[in-house]
Amino acid sequence: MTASIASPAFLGLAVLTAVLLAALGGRVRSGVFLVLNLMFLGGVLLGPSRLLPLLGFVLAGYWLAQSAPRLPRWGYLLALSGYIAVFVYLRDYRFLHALLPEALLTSGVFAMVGLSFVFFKVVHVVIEARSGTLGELRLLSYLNYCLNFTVYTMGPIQRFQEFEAQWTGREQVAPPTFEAHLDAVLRVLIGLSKAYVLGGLLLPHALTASPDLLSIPVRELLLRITAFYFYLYLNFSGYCDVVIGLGVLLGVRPPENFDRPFLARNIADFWQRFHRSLTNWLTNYVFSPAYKWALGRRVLGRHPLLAMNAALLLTMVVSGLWHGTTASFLLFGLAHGLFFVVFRTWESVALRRLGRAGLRELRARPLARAAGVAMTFSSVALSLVFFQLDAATAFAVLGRVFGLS
Amino acid sequence: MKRILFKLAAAALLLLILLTLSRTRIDFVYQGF
Repeated sequence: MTASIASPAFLGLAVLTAVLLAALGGRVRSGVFLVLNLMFLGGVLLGPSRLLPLLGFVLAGYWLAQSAPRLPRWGYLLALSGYIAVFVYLRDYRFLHALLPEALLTSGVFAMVGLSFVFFKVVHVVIEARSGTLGELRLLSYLNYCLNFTVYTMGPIQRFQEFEAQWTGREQVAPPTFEAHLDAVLRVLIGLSKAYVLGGLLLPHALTASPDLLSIPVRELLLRITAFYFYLYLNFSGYCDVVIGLGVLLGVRPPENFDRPFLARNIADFWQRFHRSLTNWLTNYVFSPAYKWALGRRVLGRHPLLAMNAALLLTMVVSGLWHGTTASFLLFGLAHGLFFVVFRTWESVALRRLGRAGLRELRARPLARAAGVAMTFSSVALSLVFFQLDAATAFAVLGRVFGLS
Repeated sequence: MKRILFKLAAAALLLLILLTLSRTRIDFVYQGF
């Protein structure tokens, strides 16, 4: 059961929600929003049989967030690890099939749409609750934050504090003018056009798991890979435009997720421009703690570049595994981890040789900028074969691209 | 006023493009996650 962002069920309910939320106030407004969220998730997107386990997963996160500040360190880490293990089990990661008997596996029954996004939102709430930076955590707000149907399926991943500030009116998402509302409607229409018109035009030319991949000319293969990169951007950023526009109408605006990623000059720049809300999450909860931990070790602490590269590699592996459950997503993450390692190592060597001013001067040169953009574009585009194909086919395709087979 | 009329026209044009040129079936890549 799915409901696209262009479906009458989704758009109709979004308009109804915007009208109701504008007319109501206080706890009634929160209650009505929760009912509408549950109606969409249980009635349209997931079905009642999947809504219940989802609610259990989300409520367990609430309990964890409430308990986190009081638990001893070992208890907190154990509970958080347990929650992560439940997610891995529910999402039915492939490696579990090698470890557990078939009878114990879920076979993907609970691997529902949006689970990864909800998981990252809950973990964010738990970690911030533990560190004392979350503020007040009310059940109604928490449920609406996790189950907000407009961003449930694919984000962007908003911070709870920002959601709460916008929901309670402490932070205004747009001026209460006709033009601001018109801008929001335009944003929705632009997003739908990107996803359904431009994306639709590119789709027939984009890389898919078709049987002719190993026989078509390499030039055609490269075109399909490039087309898939553009298609992915139009598909995901178009969706984000729609939900950000709707967010303005609803009064809770999710964060921007894209900033012209094709202009990225290096891999770090790319991840600041593509799926930014995911990058922010990974930076806060994987990279920063991992880097800090590594710097505190005896060996890694003496080699900050090594510590940074280890933390970057781990972060990108987590990113890959968040994206998908198979080996090819792990390889996607590893590829981006390696891009980061190469980039940060090059940067460190260049800094040592040229000095800060020399590196700045080099980066400002038009040729160096163009080379950076071209290298980043091709590296990212090629890494997407792991996104779209199984590991064996992806390697075969890359082998053809690099003239190895 | 001119700006708002321009935006209204742009919205109408986009709506027309959407109604005539959009593909009815698009799968969202990130929906699998």
